[in-house]
Parts: sequence; structure tokens; C-alpha cells
Amino acid sequence: MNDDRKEELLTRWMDDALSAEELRELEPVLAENPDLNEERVDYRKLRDELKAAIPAEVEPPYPDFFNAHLERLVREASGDEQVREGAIRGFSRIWLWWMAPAATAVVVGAFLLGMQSAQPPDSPGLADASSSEIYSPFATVETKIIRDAELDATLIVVEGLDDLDDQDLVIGGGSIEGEHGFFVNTGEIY
Amino acid sequence: MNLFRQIASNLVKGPVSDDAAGGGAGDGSDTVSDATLVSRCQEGDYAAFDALVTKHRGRVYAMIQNMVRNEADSWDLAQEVFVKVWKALPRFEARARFSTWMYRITHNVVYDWMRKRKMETVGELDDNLLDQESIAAGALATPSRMARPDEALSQGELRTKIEAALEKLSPEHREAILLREVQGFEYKEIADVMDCSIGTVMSRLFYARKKLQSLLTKTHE
Repeated sequence: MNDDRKEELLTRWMDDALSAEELRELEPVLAENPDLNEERVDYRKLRDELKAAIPAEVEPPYPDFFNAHLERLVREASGDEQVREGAIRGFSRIWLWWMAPAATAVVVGAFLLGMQSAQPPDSPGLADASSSEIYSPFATVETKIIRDAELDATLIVVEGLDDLDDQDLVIGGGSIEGEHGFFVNTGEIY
Repeated sequence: MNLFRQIASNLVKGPVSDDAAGGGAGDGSDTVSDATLVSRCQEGDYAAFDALVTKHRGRVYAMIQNMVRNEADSWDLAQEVFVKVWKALPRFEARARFSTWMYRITHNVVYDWMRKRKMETVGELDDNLLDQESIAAGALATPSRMARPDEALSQGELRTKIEAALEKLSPEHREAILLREVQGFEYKEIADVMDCSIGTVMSRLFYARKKLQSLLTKTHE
């Protein structure tokens, strides 16, 4: 019996998958190597341990998001054959980066909520028109932040400060002094 | 996170028959339901595809993770697999089982990734080392019989040792073991997934098992 045949028969013997005829064919090999029987018992134990240790199924992290993101990729790929690996590969980093700001936002949010509760009830102090937030440590100062997506601009309104020169707030251009405070174009450096 | 969950929950999911639930990739009981979903996918029904993804993502992800050993890359690669599945579905013919075909795509994606990352040789056990242990067809798989994994070994420790041993196998041997012992594939299915002959599958399983036993025995010595 050549080695290839031995390997095949022994592999299937380990799995109890030999026919009676094949078993007879293998018997001389087993007779020459009596330890093979013990080896088979050992491997079966190992196989059980392997099955117990390595799950056949593991849900990916954020399984709902997995499907949602996949749908976006599929729709992109369906519409544009060029959209493929780049988007997928790039996403891994986006995914990781996305988690960091999300965690930060939770911490900042908790902090702001805590600070807001310390302010007088009639002092808003927090943003009302955007996902961004601005906090004033002074109860006499009111702040607002308004995001205009069309203009790609963010309006920050600070009321209750002494008069300031534009240059106090703005390093780059794009600021206009408004009626109630400072208009800052976040598309520019400031 | 809530936003993403909300987006996900807003996905339009078409009616999925009861027989689509449950069943694993290595389990023949899901063939009909997969066939139904595939047929609907081929008509452009994304809800059916979403159901297929939900049903198979765990096995695809687990398989990839056991091959590449990196969570973020596994996530990306699993996405890539399903994008390729969607794109190739119109050409899928029901000659093979859907899950086998999907694992074939998974295999290709993982090996493409490995080639790109030049990881094929990293962590691979030098076959010459095994030759020194006189492992041949019909010979003892383990150099020594005295060191069986300790029954008292905790599950966590055992898992770590098994994962470490798997990692030392060549990708082909690791994949053969995972498909056979973990995913429960038949020899022919493994051959289809790995694009090789059944004889090659037998050989890979034979040597992979011996290597695995040898590595774990050494660990316990």
C-alpha cells in the first residue's frame, strides 16, 4: 500500500468512515502499528476539545450595523462597479475611528449634562441646533451653536461677554460680527 | 450606536419563510431555505439577501477570524465576502450547496488577503521539523503518549493552547481542520471550498491532525 492510500484510509478510519472492505485493507497497517488505536482515541478527545474551544459560529461585532453597512456597500457596488475593496478596506479604520469619537461623545455628553444641571434654569448654555455642543462655564454667558450644512458653516453665538475684537477669536478669515455675538465660519481656520 | 441600530432596524426585511431559520453551513437541513432565498436574491430581492447574510454571517465571520486572527480585518473581510456573494449570485447555479459556494468565496477572499499581506509563511510550521519527528503514514501521530491535555485544564487555557496550535499550522492545514472538525464539512465539500482534489484534502487532514496532536502534546509536556 502506498503512502497516499495509507493517508486516505487512516484519515477516514479516524472518522469512522471506512467500509468493511477498506477496513480489511487497512488491517495490516493497524497490526503493524498497534498504537494507532490509542492514537485514534486521543485524537477523538482532541477533536471534542477543539469543537468545544473553537465555535463554528461567532456573530461579528455590531451585527445589525454589519448588515446595514453591507447594504450600503452592495448598493454602491451595484451602482458603480468600481466601488469595492477600497471602500471595504477603508472602512475598518473608519470603524475603529468611529468608536473613539462615539465614546468621547458619551463622556462629554455626561459632563455637559452634569454642568448644565449646575446652571440656573433660565440659562440655556448649550447647543440647540446641531449635534455639536459648546459649554460656557459662566452662568452669565449664554452660548449657542448653529450648524448650516448648506453653507458648510457653523454659527457660534456667545452672549454676555465683554466686547471683544474679532482677532481675539479668529486666527483665519471668515468671521463676521453679528448682532448678538460672533459669527465664525468653521470652514476657515480659527 | 443607537443611530446605527436605528438604521439597521429600519431595513426593509421581506417575509422570510420559517424554514429559513436555523441550520448551519455544514448542515444539510438548510439547503431548501437557502435555495429559496437565493432564488429571491437572484430576482433582486435585497431583503432575501439580508436574511441570507443574517443566517450565515456568524459562520463566515468565525471562519475568517480563525484564519486571520484579527477582529477588525475579519469584519472587513466578511463584508467583502458578502459583497462578492451578492455580485456573483446571478451566476450561482444550484449544482452546489449555497453554503459550500459561499465558503469558496470566503476561502478566496482570505487567501487574497493573505497574499496581499504576505502572511502565507508567517507562523507556518516548518515541515522539516515534522520530518524529524518521523511522522509518516501509519506512524504514531504523537511523539509521546504520556502528555494528554490535562482534564483539569480550564476551558480558557485549553482554548488558548488550541488556538496557538492552530496558528502554527499552515493556512491550508488550518483551514482543512476548521472546515472538517469545526464546521463539519464532508471531504468533498472541503475539496470544493479549497479547490483541490479529495486526495489532497485527505493528505492535508492527515498531516494537520498529526501536527496538531504533536503541537498540543509538546505544550503539555
